[in-house]
Amino acid sequence: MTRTRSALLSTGSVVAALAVWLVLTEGGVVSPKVLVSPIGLVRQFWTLAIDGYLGTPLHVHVLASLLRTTFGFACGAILALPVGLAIGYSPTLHALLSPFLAVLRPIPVIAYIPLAILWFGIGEFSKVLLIAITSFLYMTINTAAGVKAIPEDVIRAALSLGASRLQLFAHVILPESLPYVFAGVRVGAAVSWAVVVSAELIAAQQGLGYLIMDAATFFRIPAVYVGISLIGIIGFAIDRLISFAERRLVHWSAR
Amino acid sequence: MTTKIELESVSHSYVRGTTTVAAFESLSLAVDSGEFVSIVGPSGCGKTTLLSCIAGFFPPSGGRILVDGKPVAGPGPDRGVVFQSFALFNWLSVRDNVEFGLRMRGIGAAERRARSDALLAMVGLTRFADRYPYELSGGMKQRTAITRALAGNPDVLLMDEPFAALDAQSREMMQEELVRIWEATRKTVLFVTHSIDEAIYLSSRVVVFTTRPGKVKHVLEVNLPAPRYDPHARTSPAFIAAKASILDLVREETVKQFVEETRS
Repeated sequence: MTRTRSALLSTGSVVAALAVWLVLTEGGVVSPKVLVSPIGLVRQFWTLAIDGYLGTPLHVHVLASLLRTTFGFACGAILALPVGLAIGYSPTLHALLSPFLAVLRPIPVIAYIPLAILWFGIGEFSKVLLIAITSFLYMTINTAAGVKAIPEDVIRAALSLGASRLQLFAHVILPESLPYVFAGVRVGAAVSWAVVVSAELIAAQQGLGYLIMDAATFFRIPAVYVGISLIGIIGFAIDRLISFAERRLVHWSAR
Repeated sequence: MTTKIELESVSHSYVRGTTTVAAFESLSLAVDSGEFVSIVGPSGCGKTTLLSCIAGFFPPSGGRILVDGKPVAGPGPDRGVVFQSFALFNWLSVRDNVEFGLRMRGIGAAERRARSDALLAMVGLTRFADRYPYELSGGMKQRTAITRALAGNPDVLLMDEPFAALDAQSREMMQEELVRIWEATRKTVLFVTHSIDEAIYLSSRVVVFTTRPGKVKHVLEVNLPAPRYDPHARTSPAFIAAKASILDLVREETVKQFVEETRS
């Protein structure tokens, strides 16, 4: 399928879904109590954007969530890169560490919340930590897989050309595993952004997760929709951004 | 002529599952400086394993491998290696691939550039210097890999079925190219291949291996008329005669291997 055709189809399906949604809600088929209409959503978004939510401007909530995600994700990624490279390269380290990673990965982050509160209190650290753990686990696995996928011949070629072990890491193993690292970055960022909602369940006073929880508690349903929509749209934007960087930085992959 | 590579009753076996497989056994062979020697033999006779040992990727289980009279202790830029899979660095341009070894060894940008310019011109890759491997055909990729191996000016070139992944036309072109390169540089080349034609066309000597565990079955001197890169060399009487005798030798081994496999 050509790029244009695929873009047209995507646009078409979004427009069609919006139309169905509009007809169902504005046409009175579905009660506005159950499902907000697109017009209602935009109106509510506008109100929130201008007046803020409970005295806090909307952009402050968005920025609070973005900041936590970025910081947590960055911490996880900085740790995941060397650990992933080491696990992928050394079968010994892989054998030593992989059981822990394998057990930790399937645990949903929400399950850590009581422990995080118990150990680290209800401050920012606990929230950032949860995001960091999530992105760390996803990115470590991907980076390790990237190293494992490097053809033996490529490593041999580098060694026979005179590369030292350190040079091998910096000039061959790192760049060669970058396509996998980027796949990890993409999943890790998406999951981190999703996890921010869970993380903000821990006594947050700001953030989109807080906004959704608070609005739901007090039955401000349109505000809940705005929060959810914003998470979706911003998540999509983050993914596009990373995908753009990926195409620029790992131009050789998938060809 | 001085001896460049010397194999002193070299053996190698490895463990696969629960059995120990002997790849090759008590191989002895001497390759002179500037010689082009091909190794042919049935699949699994340890040709590639032997080449890896000479490259220093892992030590043989027994015997000694000497290059310039010194035992091989690991991979090194004195022995350029060319792989069937090309093994190019996909994130580097053709030029950067060629310059990789020089860069690793701390050679300055200006000197690297001069060296890669000369080599790329020699193999006709100048126009492709800024392309990436994924933009090249198989023949061009292998041309890049050979140039990369030559960049450090190694005395020895170890080539492991380098043209096996190419289509017939590019394969013949690359063979002619390699003969030309060899005549220009007079490297010592050890060339592993499945193709008897290729071995005869390229080599001054063809070594025929037995079936596993590989041993030297026969060494045949090839005396093709010069110039070697003349395409008609492939139909000369000397070529046909050499092909007939090697075909018989390899066939004997293939039959032996077939009988062995069907019995077990």
